[in-house]
Amino acid sequence: MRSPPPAPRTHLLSQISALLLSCSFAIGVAACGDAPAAAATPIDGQESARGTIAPEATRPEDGEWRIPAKDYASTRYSGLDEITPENVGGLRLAWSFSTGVLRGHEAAPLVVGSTMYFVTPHPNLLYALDLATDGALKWKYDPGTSRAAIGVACCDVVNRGAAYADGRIFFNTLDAHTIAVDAESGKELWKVKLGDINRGESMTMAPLVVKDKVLVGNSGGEFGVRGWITALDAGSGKIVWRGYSTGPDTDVLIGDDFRPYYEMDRGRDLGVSTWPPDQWRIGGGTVWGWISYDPATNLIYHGTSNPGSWNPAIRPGDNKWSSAIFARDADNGRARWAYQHTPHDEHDYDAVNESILLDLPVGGRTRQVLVKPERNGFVYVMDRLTGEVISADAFGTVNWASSVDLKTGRPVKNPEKATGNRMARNVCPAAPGMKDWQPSSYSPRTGLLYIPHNNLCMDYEGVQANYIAGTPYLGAEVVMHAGPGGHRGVLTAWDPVARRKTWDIEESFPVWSGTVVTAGDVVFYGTMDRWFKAVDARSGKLLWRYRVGSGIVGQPITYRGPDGKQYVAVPSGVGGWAGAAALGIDPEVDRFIALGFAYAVRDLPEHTGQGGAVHVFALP
Amino acid sequence: MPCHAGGGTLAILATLAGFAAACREETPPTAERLVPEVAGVAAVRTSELHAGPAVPVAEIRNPYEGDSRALEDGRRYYNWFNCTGCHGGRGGGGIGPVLADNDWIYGGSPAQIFESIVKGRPNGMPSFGGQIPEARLWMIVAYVESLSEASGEDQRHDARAEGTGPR
Repeated sequence: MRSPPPAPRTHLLSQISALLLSCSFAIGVAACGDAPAAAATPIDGQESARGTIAPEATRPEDGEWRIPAKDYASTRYSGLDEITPENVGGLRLAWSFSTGVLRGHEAAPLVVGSTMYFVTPHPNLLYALDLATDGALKWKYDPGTSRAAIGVACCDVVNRGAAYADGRIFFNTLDAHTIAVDAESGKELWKVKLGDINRGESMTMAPLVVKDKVLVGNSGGEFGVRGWITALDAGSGKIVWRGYSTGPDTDVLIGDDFRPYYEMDRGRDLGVSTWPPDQWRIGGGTVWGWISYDPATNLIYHGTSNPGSWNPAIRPGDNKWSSAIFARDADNGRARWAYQHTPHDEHDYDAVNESILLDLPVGGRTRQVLVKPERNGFVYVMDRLTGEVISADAFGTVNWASSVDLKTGRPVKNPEKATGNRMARNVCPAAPGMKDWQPSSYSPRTGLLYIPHNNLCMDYEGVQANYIAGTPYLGAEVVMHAGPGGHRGVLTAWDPVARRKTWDIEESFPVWSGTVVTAGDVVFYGTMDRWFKAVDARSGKLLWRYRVGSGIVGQPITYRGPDGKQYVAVPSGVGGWAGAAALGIDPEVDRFIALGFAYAVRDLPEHTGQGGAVHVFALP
Repeated sequence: MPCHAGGGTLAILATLAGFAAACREETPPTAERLVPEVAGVAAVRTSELHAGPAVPVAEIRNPYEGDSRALEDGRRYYNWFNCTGCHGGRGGGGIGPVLADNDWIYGGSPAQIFESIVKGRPNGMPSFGGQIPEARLWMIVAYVESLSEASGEDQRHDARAEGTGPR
């Protein structure tokens, strides 16, 4: 168990004047000219109590980075403190490595011992690099991923990372296989097929290993897939359990011990009865995002994707369990509770974002919570034992709903923004949400959540959808545009106790990279216009930046090298849904392409081309 | 003629009502044949580079060439068979490549486009052979050809004028 050292909170007011002078509360990059690209916007200097990381879901700092989220609590917090706001300006490139792959590099590198592991987008090459010799290639594993799988990847052919456990690297391939590779030799230990591209199934998420099981889920919410999470035996790859997100309770692994907090989530076979007949079979609810785990209760937490199709008019009902979160027993998958963030989604608001497990002071006592900044624009603080929503606050411009009713659990929808067979204009947030998959980090030292996200709104119209297995099942025409202020991305430092932002940084493009925060009080993140940045965790002040070869949509990490020094690593290689405009398509001809995203960032090719690499930085 | 979408293997779960209304009777010659390949298409080249002297290949024309009604139906079938989901309704690309340009990976002649649809292509283009009746395939080909032909500067200016730029 980690006891975070007490850290005095600086009085942010004292920093405001300096920031005003340097950057005049800059709106994105443009207002700053050649000065550091963005300025922080502190709100006030109020002190508030801090949460701690769920004690059993984290472990003492070991200098490694074994899973993309760093720990089971999904904090992406490193206890390393060699790099500080005072010295980070001296950070230098130590080495880099070209992956030979062009598409969006969304994965987190892993570091175990003196080896770095990195899995690329399709064709999902797995590289092992020797840290003792400045990134010499130890081995490369090529799974032979099907080329045809490219055709069932809705939002670029991404992969969000591997996971290490017990001498093995586990990862998923776009053609829906899970693979175990010997971490030392690079030899394949097992490879199992879990889904079928001819039903539109693919896999892009990073597995989570819990005890002797590897937890994985499918992608394909835009292809009429039926979502599932599956536990595999880590030794053999054999399926131990599978829980579907739609269909009868027996398939969803809902039984007598299922205790949802809200009335709306209670009842028999809701995964069938909240759909028109048989629509649940192609209803989405895929499990393509993050999984957290609390060993104290043996519960895993995972979200589910949007329902299919995107036209809600063809699926009256709540459409359970799409756009929801499940708490499941890690051993058998049985659902302990579930909560539907967005019943009857009308805007592609998946609910697969990271759940950060914290013990948080709420109303004078410590609550065991999960904090989940969601796509629908609300950051949820939920009791992780019961599924109660303690609070749900907008962390940007939200107009599709005014609030979340804490009595019923339902969002209070704005009828003007309803879609279906009609055009809804200027819906905020847009389909990729206030925040998509790009993961936040949490520092127990500052008590702040560092949320990388979007500032996008959209016009959305439901249209006819035709299910043909293995082809897109979409049913909407969407065009996105920048939200209020004109910038398209934001890094927000959010205080989950005070329930408000402490500071934020506006970025021209959606912030599609992850963030990492360290005990040195430095936050790292990247931008699609090729900057890798370090900012002060307390004030948001830009401390350092480095221009990489291609836009950053991946996850930074930090680790202690074999020489004892602290390193920071980040993949580059623009792509993903947000980066589609840089992949050779033409939104000038057709504003609806890439599900409406490319048009909103059609100036991206003026800032970056394609090309994947991993960059590693250290102090001299 | 009923406007069902072709082979019995197609599971169509979405509403058909709006689509059926838009359908009209098709002219024979090739109407309801589920032909994965037409005579001569197998000889279609996908490279302009040939080994040795060029061997003449008979040009295969689109039977609906110049037929504006077929072009309009082709647009509907292009939507109905989910070409839109990957290539964009106006061919701007996405999961699949841009069609509204003159850069053809597997060739832009009617027979080459026909073959790409029927046989599929290795980097994610599904094969639609056996799923779409031949007449409708040619109508889709006509629409795809029109996307390329329309990809001049005028259209690009129009699209730009409609937009408001990064706001």
